[in-house]
Amino acid sequence: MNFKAVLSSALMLGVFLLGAHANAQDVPEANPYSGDEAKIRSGKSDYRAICSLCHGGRADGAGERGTGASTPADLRKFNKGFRRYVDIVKNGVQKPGRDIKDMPAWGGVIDDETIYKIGAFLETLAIEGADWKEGKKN
Amino acid sequence: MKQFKLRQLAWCISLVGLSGTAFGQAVNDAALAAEAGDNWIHTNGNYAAHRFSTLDKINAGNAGKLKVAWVATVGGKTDAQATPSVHNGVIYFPQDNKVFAIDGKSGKLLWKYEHKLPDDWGGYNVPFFTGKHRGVALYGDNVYFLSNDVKLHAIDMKTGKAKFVKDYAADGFQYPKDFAKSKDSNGYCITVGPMAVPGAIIVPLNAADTGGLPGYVLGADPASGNIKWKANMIPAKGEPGGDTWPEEAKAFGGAGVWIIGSYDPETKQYFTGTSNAYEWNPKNRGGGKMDNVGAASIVAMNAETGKVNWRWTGVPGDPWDFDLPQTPILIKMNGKTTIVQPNKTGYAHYLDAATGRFLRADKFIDKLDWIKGYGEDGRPQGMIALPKEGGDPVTISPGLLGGVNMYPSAYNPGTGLMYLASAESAMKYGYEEIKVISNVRHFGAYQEFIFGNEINRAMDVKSGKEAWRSDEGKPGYAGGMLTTAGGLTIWTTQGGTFKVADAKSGKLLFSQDLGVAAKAGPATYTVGGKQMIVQALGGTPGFGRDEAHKAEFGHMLVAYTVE
Ligand code: HEC
Repeated sequence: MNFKAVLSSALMLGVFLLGAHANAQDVPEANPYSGDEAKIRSGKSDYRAICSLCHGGRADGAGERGTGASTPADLRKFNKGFRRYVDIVKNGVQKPGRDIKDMPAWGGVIDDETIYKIGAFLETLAIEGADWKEGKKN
Repeated sequence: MKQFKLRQLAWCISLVGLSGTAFGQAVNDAALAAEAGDNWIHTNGNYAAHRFSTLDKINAGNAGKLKVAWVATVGGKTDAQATPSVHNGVIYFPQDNKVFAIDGKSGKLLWKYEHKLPDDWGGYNVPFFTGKHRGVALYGDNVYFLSNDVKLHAIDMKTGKAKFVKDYAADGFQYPKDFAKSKDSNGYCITVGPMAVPGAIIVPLNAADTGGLPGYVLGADPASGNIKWKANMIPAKGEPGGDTWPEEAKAFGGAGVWIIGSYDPETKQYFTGTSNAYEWNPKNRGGGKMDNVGAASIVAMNAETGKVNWRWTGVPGDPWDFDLPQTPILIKMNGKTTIVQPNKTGYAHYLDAATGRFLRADKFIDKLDWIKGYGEDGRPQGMIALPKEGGDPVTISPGLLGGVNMYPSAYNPGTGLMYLASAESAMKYGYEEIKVISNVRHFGAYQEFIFGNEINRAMDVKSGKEAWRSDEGKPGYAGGMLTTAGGLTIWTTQGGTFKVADAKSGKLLFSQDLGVAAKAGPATYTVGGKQMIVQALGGTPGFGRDEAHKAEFGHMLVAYTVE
């Protein structure tokens, strides 16, 4: 990764991520496990164990423990790019007025390696409009 | 001690009903035992959980003229799951760890009681539960409310102020903590409501599968909230069924209590269904080969002592997340109190309430292939093979959302029909490795839903045959059923269409699209001489993403009447 890219992604992310992300620059630009069959199988197992109850076995957002204040995202359509993916999984998503993050923050309890493996598995389910690389600028 | 005596005295005075005001007389034992009529005191209508009202001012003759009397909102942030309780024209409704008192005539807010969840509140599937409540109990001049963090609140009906807040953490029932803040994120998380029976507030402990815990029902002192008795759903060593678990699995075995049960005043027995065994992947609890009695079961206990009289297991070894999620309905049949419980299994199970003896199981959904049927011994016959861990999932009907889920059924003694908020469904179900993170044992199983239609049905409890059905054309479950002496059966579809049908024939008499998901049963009451029907709406349709409805999140209460 060149200096410019580091700077621009740091600026881009900085808007969303103030503080809390001491290791944001450690996250590679692209998923190192993309296309790695063994990692994908292991990520599938992790996904099923940890994420599927909300996002559903198909990752389409239809999980039994999904609906609360927010509907779990359809991860087959995830289009925010790899680094945003890692950020969201680590820090979760909270809706205004809720006492809890409907998407929990996994940063403290599952390691980067696991998050990357799950990402590599999810990439294999991507449907039209998905973007696991650069991501939509939002 | 002195304080305790004073509390007891104040409690006794309130029961005698000296506190009559605009909010009316206290709810005494006779009021608890009454059928639902002008008041709707119990979440499930009466002790027997019939969700039947003796009111008949609204009936088949005039139901076509129903009009919205008022619309109100409590600003809910998640599903509205509670059937409102109503006493002397005042509605008590829990939502988002708050309780609201609403004037039943105008829909105006009378008071609001607010509880703040602890700062370290959180956990694995806890977001799903946060803010959901399925009812309150009314007794004396208190509203009893269970907040998600395992606390019983006794709130003064008139003022909306707490008389006591009882925390059960010291009794071993801690709440789940955010895993970013705590190494132990396992805990009970309550979405079920309490129930009042003479001398006790029944406190069911649910969400035992936020990390793996055993289910209990507590009997609490109405004056203090202190635990009078504690009934274990999973049998201990030496109790019947105690040997149907590996001993070490009992500590995380599930069997949480998701529903408000039913009560037989003659035998003083309280009956509840229990949820799935935990983990969902059965390998640590006998691999489906041990019965795991107490999970996916009906449990009968003495409501004065908590002594468990019997447990009947509907899905031995529960390998499918097939809880018995409905309130056991009590119906007198051939002179005997009979438990009728429609279930996720796709069957309505009939048991002798005195002994727990299995009588029969009637299939009520069209598509069912997880077993061939129930044998005379009350055990499932010819169950399809379980999936292999890490292997391919298997496809079964119904799916784990079930033939019915927790959306309550109703029984009308006039028609002899039971009304079910049911659905057709299937799923792909597979097992994976069980992970343990922050002392939370994960499911070790996953599902891919195959949704079928919401079909609300009437079933003859004598013959077990379907009398009529209303196919709603889209996936989901109705919020719950209500039936009345006016010959009506009333429900709101998952998509939010309020419907009133002839209880006997199913002929649709009134229907109005309200556009907001229904996940609660309606109730009826009288105020100012008028019969009213109230329905809470709130949430997004479906479990998880369910695009058929194309509806966004909404939240409101609607009351109907006829002029
Ligand atoms: C308790 C339920 C729950 C669990 C468990 C859960 N999620 Fe989520 N997730 C949600 C919800 C709800 C949202 C949507 C939040 C919003 O936008 O309001 C979400 C959003 C996301 C998003 C953002 C999607 C987008 O398009 O912006 C990603 C990525 C994600 N989750 C990944 C995961 C992964 C990976 C796991 C497992 C490690 C996981 N989630 C576990 C509930 C959950």
